[in-house]
Amino acid sequence: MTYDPNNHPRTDRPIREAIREARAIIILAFSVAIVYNIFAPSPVPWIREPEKSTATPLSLDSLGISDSDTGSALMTTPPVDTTAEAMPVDTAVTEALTQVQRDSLERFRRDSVRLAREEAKRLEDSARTAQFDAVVAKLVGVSEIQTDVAKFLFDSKKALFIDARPEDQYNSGHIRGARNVYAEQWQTKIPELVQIDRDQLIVTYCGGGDECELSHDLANNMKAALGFKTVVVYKGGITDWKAKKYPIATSE
Amino acid sequence: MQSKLDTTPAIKILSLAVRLLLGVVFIVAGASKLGALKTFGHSIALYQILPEGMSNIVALLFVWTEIVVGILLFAGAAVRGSALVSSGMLVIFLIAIIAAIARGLDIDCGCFAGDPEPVGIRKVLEDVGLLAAGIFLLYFPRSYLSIDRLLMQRGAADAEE
Repeated sequence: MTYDPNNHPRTDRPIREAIREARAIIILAFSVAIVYNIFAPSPVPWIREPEKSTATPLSLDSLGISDSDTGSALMTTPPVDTTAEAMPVDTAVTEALTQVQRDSLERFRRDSVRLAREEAKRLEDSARTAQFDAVVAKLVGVSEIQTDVAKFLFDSKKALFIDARPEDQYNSGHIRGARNVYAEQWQTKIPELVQIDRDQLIVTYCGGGDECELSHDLANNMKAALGFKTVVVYKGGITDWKAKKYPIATSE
Repeated sequence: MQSKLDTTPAIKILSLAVRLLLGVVFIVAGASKLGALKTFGHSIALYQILPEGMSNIVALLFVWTEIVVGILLFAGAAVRGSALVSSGMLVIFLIAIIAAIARGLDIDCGCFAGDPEPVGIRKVLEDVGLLAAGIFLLYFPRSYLSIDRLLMQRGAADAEE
């Protein structure tokens, strides 16, 4: 009697045979799945936790900062008039001076202009920092931000953006200056991440919209496991960023 | 189901091709999601068919069933049973995708990790094609280069002793 698994003599009903095989296959696959999840290094939680905050992401309006297209308008303070003409020159006085005295007067004028410019820049920087710090203070306890806040933080150059998607998606287009930490394999980037100051403001993002929880997972891990103080999720993600045509970079 | 058609070389070659194709598709689909199970669980939750808490378990079981069925099909072992399981899975996928389209959900199908495909007519057609392949294998499971065939030949050799 030849053995033909597809036409076993015990059953002359192939469908019944197929069902028997199918049952065995399913039992095998389910057993492997359960054993895998018990012993896996990062198992999935058996019961899925529902999505946490449905609160609206933070926007600039709620922070009390008026919105603008680029956000850079928020950064400027009225410029100090630092042109040389601002210093009145009394021609009658200078004609009476010797050349040496005229030269030293000119040097003094230039130095004053330069010092005034530097002072103006310091004022601008400290205003910027104060504004930034005010925003950061309001971000404590916030979990999600909208595109306008993300752009504000981007312009300040003081936030670290992290792309939570897989490497190939990151390479084909990410927010300029963003680093890549694939949320599902974040442990592999721990040696790099621990070198970052825990006070550094972190913004995680991924594809955007409701489909993407990679950014949330990464943010939670960075806060809970690595102790970063301020980590927010940019909910709009790369989709909204591209829609607003904000700076994108690619890597090879 | 036993018929002359079942054993012609042409049919056997076709069966081999279909078996390998379906096997590879399932292995790749399952293996790609193995490294991103939480994301797949999230994709399943987005279909809003199951209670959200069950999404992870379903994701886990689906991924491993895809892998096991894919390997069995590729190796040509228990082809009828694997074809039945794969067809069953595809029917489930089709129901879920059609339900999502009918409800107007604009979501990623979650079929292959890292390669987003929107839920839509194209995906439905692809899955119908794979389902047809599975049903074909259910009726014509015998082919060359399969473990089943190896067992059959060994069985024949034993019987001759």
